[in-house]
Amino acid sequence: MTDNSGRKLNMARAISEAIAQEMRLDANVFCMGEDIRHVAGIWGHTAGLHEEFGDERIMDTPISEAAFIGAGVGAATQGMRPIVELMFADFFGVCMNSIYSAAAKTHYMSGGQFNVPMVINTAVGGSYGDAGQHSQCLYSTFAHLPGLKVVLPSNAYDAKGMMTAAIRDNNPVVFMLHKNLLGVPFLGDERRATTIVPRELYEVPLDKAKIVREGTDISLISLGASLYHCLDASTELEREGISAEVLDLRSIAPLDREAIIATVAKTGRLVAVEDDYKSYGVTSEVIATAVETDISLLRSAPQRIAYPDVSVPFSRPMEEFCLPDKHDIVAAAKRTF
Amino acid sequence: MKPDSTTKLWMYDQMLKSRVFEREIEKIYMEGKTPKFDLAKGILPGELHISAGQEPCAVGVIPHLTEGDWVGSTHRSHHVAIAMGIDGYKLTAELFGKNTGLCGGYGGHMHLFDKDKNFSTTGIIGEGLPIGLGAALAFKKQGSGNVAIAYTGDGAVNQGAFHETLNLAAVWQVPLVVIVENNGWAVSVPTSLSTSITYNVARAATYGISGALIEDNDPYQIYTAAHEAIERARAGGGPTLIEIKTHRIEGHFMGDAQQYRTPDEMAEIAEKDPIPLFHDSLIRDSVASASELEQIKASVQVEVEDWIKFARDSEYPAPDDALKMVFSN
Amino acid sequence: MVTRFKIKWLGEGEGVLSQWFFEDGGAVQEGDVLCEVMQDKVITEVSAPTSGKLEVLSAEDDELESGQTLGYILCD
Repeated sequence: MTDNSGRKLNMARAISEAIAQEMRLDANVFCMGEDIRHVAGIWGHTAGLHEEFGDERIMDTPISEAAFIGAGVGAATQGMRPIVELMFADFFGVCMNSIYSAAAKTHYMSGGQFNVPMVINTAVGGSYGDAGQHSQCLYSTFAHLPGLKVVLPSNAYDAKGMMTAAIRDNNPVVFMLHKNLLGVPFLGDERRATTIVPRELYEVPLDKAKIVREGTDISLISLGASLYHCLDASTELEREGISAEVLDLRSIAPLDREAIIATVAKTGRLVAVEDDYKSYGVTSEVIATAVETDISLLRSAPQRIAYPDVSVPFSRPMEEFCLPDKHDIVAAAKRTF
Repeated sequence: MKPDSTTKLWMYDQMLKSRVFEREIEKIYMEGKTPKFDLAKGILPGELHISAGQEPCAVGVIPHLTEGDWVGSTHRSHHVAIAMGIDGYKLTAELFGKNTGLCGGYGGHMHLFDKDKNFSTTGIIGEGLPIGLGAALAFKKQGSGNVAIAYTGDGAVNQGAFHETLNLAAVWQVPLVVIVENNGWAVSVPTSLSTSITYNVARAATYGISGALIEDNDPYQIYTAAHEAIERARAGGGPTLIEIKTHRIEGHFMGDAQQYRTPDEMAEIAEKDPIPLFHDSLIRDSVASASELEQIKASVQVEVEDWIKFARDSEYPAPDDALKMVFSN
Repeated sequence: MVTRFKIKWLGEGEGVLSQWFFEDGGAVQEGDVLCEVMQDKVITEVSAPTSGKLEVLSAEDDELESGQTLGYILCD
């Protein structure tokens, strides 16, 4: 990573920069979604694109996800590279066939004849009172289905590089935008997600986790907004003489199982943290990965912190109760000693 | 616009080939599945959806296609695949699940794909409509003059995806032709129970697009309507909805005893079988003699049997090939 | 000779400087978003009118009055 100007971008702007740079290079890249023109995509991640690329390549769609996401699949099989948007991951109910059947299965079922080089942008995460139908994460819901790559960058630098890689990938990539981290202030204010972002084009791989804090005594493995709670927890743990290593998964499918095993082998203790529903989730998969090869790597039972298995409540005290935070993580970490 | 004599003979050849193929495949499908009908048993596992009766829907359309046009069909696709000239050996081998199949055994009967012919199918009702919409969108952007033909059935027209696709195809004015093969039955549910109007072509007007209705499974009328729709699409005139009242002679799937259909209806369907009717019309119109048509029948039989032999003799994929093909490089 | 361009908050009424995208001394290009100012729920981006070296004056979370100087861009 070269710091060639000290220029910072928030994650939304980093993503729009990646899309713009790829669209200048490749005429086959185009965007479809609701409100991506003048509102810059609700989250700001398509800012500036319509002004530069116009109506043909930045297409506002009606509220017809099944049709336009399925159309993305069809266009992708015919040589285009569409970036389509499912505004909130929560809305997958109206169009999941286009995603998990059409997009995910075409390459496999056709025996490799057709491929689907398509990016599906979708926003995830709660914490700001948007309640049960607009606050979900659904990481494992998408990751569970073969044929989809599913990624969740935690910061602007990774977001630009991963968006570039996703556009260039010849497979369908579900690119999750965590609402707390995009830089939209009324949705969460995690300043650490805004980072120095190189002006030039670069890629960050879609299948590699990253150690964001080195440590020796315990591994905190997480993604998205929960990653920052892990960093906050590790500051507190340090004060108590516990050195925590923090691993940012970045990619949910494919999962970087080697990185998970490596950090657990190093520290011997594990807390996995996510803000998606607990059962059958990412943290379950992290723990399974850690134990299924060599259980002697672990000195104590692994812990997981996740959202409880309930719909997201509206009222603030209830929502705060459900959300994992650094206190939950510190307590879980101490349980492993 | 009527087809010329060469095309008429081609239509007969293709319809007959499709029907002979279906009859042969039906017999093979039942091998190993008696006395107890078990989908998993026998040399052709899984489901099988026979297109007998719907052959005109394919032969009326396919002659108007050019290189690069996209065709999407459904779980009931053999008549379309054969009329498109898809390699019969690979088609048959795919049904058998052999590694010489169109998709190497990965897709099977409901998921037939042929990249050379730009042909796709899907087992999910209505799924092919948005995909066809996307292919048409790509053609418009690329300025290729190609069209996308999306086949669907009377069971799909009440899916959200059908309506979303028609609306968006009209908004975007893309070169898409949607062909509804209305055989009157969605498995066992008749259109009188499923659809609020008699003919779906009326829905074309509500989306501001052109529509055409063929009421009697006639290959020539289908040919005319398809020509008009495809030329309109190529010229930038936007999408068309074509509805064909056709006949599903067999059950929804092999093993469906069709007890929900009356003997009177089945007798009527047999009388309206498009292939004997077309055979007789060719003789009446002096396009061919009875013996010429017999020769076509004989050669079709030989060809189909050759496909089947190839499929039987081909190898299966290696079991762990199942782990490949998830992602493209 | 070095020219100093003043970067001002030109919104009507008060705002809060919510985030800088450059450090003091950072190299900015014309059109770069320098910082964000928040008024109620509306974000206004303050962009660089020219390229040069940024001098930061106001800090993150400062309350700003209309016309207040946020910093300077120095260019040769």
